[in-house]
Amino acid sequence: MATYGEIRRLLRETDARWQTAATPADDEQVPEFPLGASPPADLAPAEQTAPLDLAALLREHPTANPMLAARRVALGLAVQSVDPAAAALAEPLTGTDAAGASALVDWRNRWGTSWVTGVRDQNPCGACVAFGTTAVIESRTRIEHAVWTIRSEGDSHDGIGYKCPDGSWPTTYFDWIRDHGLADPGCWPWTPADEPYAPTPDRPGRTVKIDGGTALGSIQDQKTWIDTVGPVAACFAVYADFFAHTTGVYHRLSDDLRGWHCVAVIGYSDYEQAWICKNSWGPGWGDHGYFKIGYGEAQFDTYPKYGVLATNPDPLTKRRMHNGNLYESGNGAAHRNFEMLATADGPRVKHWWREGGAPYPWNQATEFGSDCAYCPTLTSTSYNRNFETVYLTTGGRLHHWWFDQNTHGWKDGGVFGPADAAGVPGFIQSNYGAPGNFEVVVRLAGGRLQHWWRDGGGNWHPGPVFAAGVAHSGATLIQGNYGGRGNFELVCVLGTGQMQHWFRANDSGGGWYPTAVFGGGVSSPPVMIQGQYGMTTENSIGNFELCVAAGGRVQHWWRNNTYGQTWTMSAVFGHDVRAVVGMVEGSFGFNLEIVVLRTDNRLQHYWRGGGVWNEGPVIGSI
Amino acid sequence: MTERHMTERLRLRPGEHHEIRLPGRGAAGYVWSSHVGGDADVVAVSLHAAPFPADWPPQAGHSADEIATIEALKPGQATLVLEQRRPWEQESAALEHRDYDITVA
Repeated sequence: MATYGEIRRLLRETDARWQTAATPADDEQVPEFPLGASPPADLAPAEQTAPLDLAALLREHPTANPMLAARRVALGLAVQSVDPAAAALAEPLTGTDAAGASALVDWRNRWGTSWVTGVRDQNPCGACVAFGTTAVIESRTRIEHAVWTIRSEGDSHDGIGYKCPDGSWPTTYFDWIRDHGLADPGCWPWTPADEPYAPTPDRPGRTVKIDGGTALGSIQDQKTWIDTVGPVAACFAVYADFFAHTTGVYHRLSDDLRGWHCVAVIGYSDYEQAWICKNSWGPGWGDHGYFKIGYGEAQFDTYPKYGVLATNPDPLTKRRMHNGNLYESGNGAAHRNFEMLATADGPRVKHWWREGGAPYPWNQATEFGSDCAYCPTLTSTSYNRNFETVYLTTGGRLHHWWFDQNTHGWKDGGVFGPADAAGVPGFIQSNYGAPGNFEVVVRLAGGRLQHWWRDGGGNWHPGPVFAAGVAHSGATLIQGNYGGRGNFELVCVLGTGQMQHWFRANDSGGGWYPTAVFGGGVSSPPVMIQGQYGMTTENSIGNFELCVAAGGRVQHWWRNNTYGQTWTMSAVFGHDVRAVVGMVEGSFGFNLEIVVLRTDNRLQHYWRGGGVWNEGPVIGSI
Repeated sequence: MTERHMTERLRLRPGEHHEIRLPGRGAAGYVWSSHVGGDADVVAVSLHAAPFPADWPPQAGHSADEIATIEALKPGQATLVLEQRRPWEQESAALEHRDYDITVA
């Protein structure tokens, strides 16, 4: 075929199921290309791929995504407890195939949310495999750990050593990423330029890790995987008419082979007998960058497809989703252990951790320090994923400790800060520098707040003093995603018992500004995160979630960052609560998890699932 | 982004065929198109894919190069513009652009 007009005629005459673009004139050329590719010399076709024992694999990797767990249990692929509400939500409304797999899966809109990052553009390089495999890892991270992550196609493409025109195959990428992880664009971005690979020095601490790719040979294995695990990477032949495809189900009308291509398969439709795919030719191509292709078309099912089972997100991916003394680390078989620090035996600090699988036991690890005045503020950083903590000392200073992931021991980072610190420090790693600076905001004895920061050389510097009439600072400091760099946000408690929200405008001078005053009757430090609620895409701004004790109970506040930016109290719960000391939105189905310090000096876990706060176990005494 | 080459002069005899090999980027969505100006009936231009090597396994991302074949039809002067762009990005500048002045005598 030579022109769009001829494609249109073929589409009409063959009763085709797809459409071409309306804009090009009928006489506009679609160049002609002969077939020329040979059968693969070193690639086993799909039918030679061993059948998958998915049940055995999934037994080793139980999911914390409640809807996914329900699908696996329904298919007999897992034995684990399933939340009835999640099971009802996960019930395939469009029916199942003979093997029980959903007849229709589209991860762009599944169970009320999207699990697929936006369409990107490999323009003009042959880096489609980098884009297809990255898309799979981003989706799997969101599905398994309930967090959006943005990874860099340039990191794997350039890390492997490919140049712009080079082709590849998903196994090459998944093997490399298994061995090296996959970093974010801030570490090393995608560009078409063939520049020497030079990621930031903290790359080992800012990669999403995976366990490699799993080859899926049969269409049934592929469908079941997509239904119960997530998207997969697939390669196929691009024929000349594919460029002209927009909507409908593509089936090949041309014999003119133009090249080999890789995409992420984000779903399928038995009703249309089609795979649903995310391309990497920008949102201007196809159906806003996506397409459907008939089963078996253009050698789509000739070679295995590849999925990823285990993902282990990095501290920067999760940096907004925890605060206070609680953190969900990548430790443990499922990469979702909780880590917690609390005072013990007076001024000592005890490290607690919770296993990431049922029955979720809390365990006590090491103790360190001798000058801790209150539950520490814990985080993890791009310094090799080390845990880092800052706490208020009994002498009115701040003390930094860090957990070395190589030696598994806590190390003293030194005392710093004002001579009159008098509150719970907010403590984060920001994106100033790589590794990012440490940022601390703490209340001073006179009722003001002071910002301190640590540079990449390990030196702490005093920043501005701001605010007044502050009764409590808290573990509320976050670097959200307002603005290009991301503003700093915090909430403190005023002497009036009200809370006040402050932000630092990091794109415009870095001054601290007060915003809303809300609540009342509060006399304890709050804890705040920026969670995933409200994030319809990876670039949306998630809501702020805040918990604080008042009158022996917990108040849950949230700020809707999509509409109105107003603070609203959504729940009051719990009993005998002196203070909220930690908060996490972890891998467990977007649940919020908090730890409170009780009036009897014991720590207790509460969690919110399905919009309801539940009382968890009493963990131990401080 | 556009890579523009100097205008090249071609002198052909009637009935002569001349081939120009063009870098393929089909796996990234790019195709070549041709536009003949001047005495448009002096030459006929067609575009074809260069075959993949017979022993070359498919690698996702690899594209077949393209070959523009110019057939000199009768004496005269023509211009030829070859442009590489995505069919759905007609408003964008071509990724690569080549100009030819052709004399058939």
